[in-house]
Amino acid sequence: MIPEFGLFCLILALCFGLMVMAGGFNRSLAILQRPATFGMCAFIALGFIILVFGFLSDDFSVSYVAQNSNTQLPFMYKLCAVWGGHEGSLLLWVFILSLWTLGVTLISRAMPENIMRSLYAVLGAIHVGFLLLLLHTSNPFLRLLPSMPKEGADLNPLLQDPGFVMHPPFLYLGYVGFAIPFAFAMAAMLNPKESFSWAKWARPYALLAFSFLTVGISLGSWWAYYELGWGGWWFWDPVENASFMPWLVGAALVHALRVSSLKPIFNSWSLLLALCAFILSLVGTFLVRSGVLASVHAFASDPARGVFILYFLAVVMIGSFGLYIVHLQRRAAVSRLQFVSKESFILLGNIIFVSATATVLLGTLYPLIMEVLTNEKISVGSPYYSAVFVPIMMPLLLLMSFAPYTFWEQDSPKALFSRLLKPLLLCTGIIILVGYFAWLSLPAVSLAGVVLGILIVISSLFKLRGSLSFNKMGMIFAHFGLGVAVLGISLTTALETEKEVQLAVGSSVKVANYDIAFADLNEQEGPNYIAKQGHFVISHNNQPVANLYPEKRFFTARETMMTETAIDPGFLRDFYIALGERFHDGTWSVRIYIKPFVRWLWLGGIFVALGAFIAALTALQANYKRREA
Amino acid sequence: MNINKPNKMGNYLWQGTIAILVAVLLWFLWQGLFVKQPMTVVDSQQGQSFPSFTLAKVNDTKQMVTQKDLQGKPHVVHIFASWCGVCVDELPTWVGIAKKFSYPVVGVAYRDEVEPLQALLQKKGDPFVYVLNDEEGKLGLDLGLMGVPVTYVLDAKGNIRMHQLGALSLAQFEAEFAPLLATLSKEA
Repeated sequence: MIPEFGLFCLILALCFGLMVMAGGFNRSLAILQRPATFGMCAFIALGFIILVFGFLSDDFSVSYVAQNSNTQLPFMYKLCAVWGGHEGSLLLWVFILSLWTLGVTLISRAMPENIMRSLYAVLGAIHVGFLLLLLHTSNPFLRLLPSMPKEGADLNPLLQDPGFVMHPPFLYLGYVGFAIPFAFAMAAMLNPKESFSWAKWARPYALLAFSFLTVGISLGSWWAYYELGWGGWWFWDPVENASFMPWLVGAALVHALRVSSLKPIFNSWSLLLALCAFILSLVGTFLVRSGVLASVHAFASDPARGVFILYFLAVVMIGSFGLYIVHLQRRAAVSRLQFVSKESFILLGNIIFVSATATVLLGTLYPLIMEVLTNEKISVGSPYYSAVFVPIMMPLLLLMSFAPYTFWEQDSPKALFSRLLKPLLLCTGIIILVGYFAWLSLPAVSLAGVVLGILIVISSLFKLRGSLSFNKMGMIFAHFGLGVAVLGISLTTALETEKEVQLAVGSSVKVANYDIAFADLNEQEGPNYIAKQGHFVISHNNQPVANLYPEKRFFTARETMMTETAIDPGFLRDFYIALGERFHDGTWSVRIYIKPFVRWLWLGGIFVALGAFIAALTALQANYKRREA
Repeated sequence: MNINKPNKMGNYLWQGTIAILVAVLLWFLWQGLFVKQPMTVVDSQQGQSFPSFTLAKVNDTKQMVTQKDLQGKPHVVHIFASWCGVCVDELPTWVGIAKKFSYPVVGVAYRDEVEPLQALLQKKGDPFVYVLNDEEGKLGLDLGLMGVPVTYVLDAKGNIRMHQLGALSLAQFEAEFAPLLATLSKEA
């Protein structure tokens, strides 16, 4: 009975969603919008809680629970198994959308009535689209009656990991969060006569979404790094690209909104970015959920889902871009930008961000395009991205290191140079020092990355001088973080050591100045798996540096084998060991990586997210104050 | 850009560009949705020779097999993996096929590990004359694999004569594969 009630909740939420939408068309129904929004959010939350309850109570009569859970599964993973499959992830998507909507409803109230009406209607329409998708093609409460299984099929072992508990919620908070700037942009375009600075209202939400997306992507990369056992942290996989494209556009958006919230100069551009950020999130959802770009792991995706998401995507795209085209028709005169000014540099950065997004989009869709046109299966991988994406981003990094020093509106190259002199001198010093030690050991691209990373870090830190506002702090944090991440990426790609060896217990191998000994092998038993655990001792000049315990786990319910890597994390380097397979003579294939500076990558990500978060809170507070005044 | 009057031409260009980009993107996504829907026989690789490879057998790591070993009589090559649910469900079908027909079926384990693979074959039965270990996915890469399971029919010269994506049923094998294999055997 309870799962049926869950389904009923979702249907009720759909009805409320339709009411919210109707308020956008009919003024007399507008009074219902606010209460209906609350109703919609409440019933979506209830539906979500009921699915969680289904997992916690091992209700295997529900097909989705039976496919993704197991009585032996630890509590934590039962909870996150809720989003371990397609139906649950979609429900999480809708649930998070309703959380954002609730947030906007509660916080941003002092807006003109017409704007409010359109805003609710747009958000309601997005809810309706996704609830229809959920109910039409992917009902999470589908029952397996009368023959319910005694035991569930267990959660995919890859996903049984603390990283997976946090990764999807943060990613979705980011993805879905871009629905809010999108809705503000739509509301502003639907009511051209209202003088409404949508950018001011949308900015904190765009920053928040960007911050969460950064955390989500960093967590995903970290998870892939230690869970997949390939030692990589980014694979340019379509699923990763799907989250990376909204991030790039989101970065452009938060910068453009900063300008648009002060003056109307590139309002049209900000509107376009706000539309693109959310639509790329939808395109990502489509690519991942429809199986159009089938990754090796999923063949059994339902075409009906893809068709439905594409219909929805088409409605959103044609609706929003159509409105944008109309908006362009009546836009005001474009004012001239002076080249050396903060605005023009932000615009330049934006253009680079958008070009970079276009290259990622092209690379992601390339297999699809080739297949449609020539029926050939070709895919592009990291060689394409390192050849195209990396060079595009480099000028952006350079721009980032000096653009914060420019003034708004008018500046002169000479004055800018005098402001830059001190940080530039320090940078030159450090770079000469680095160059002296590392000139020959680093390939050119990495060296360029290191130089740019140093430039950004130093120039951001120099901004700490003088008066500090929270807003400025946010900027410094985020830029500093990106610089650290760039340093991490450049250094780890250039300096990592990777070795695959065949080792017997008791033997040892030398990898880049370190002796790695395979000391022991034990049997271990976990809650839902049995494991073989190796013990490796790493020593340098006969001094032990680290002990590592990689495992090979056999999950009994799914009969799958998983490699549990062992990592000794360090600020300057990681040791990383993965057990491969056992050979017949008792030796094991062992993969050993030494990864210098790889931590900096995620450390940088944390700083970027933190910076955006601080800026978001400041912007929210500013909006709040404006309402009081 | 003139401050006083909006640039009409520029506007039209912008509007046109956006409309075209949106249309092109949607068109490709729509087409992409259907290009792969008929998961059965894809003709692009028909008639081409099977890529060259050198792979070890799963049960005997010292014995290497190359594409030349597949020549002389028609072969069925089935690419699968123990981590792939569809393949695991399909395996009994192949056990049935092996019982009913005598055509050699060569298994290729794609990006798989030896232990779970052997456990799987022990539990569900081993319909293959031997299973090759494509642990690094090299053969899969040469074949342009998008997923598993995939099945190929090779003639006596080692050319691909049929290519099927996704799981197979016994009825489908009898209707599509068996007649082709019979003609190929006669040719050889």
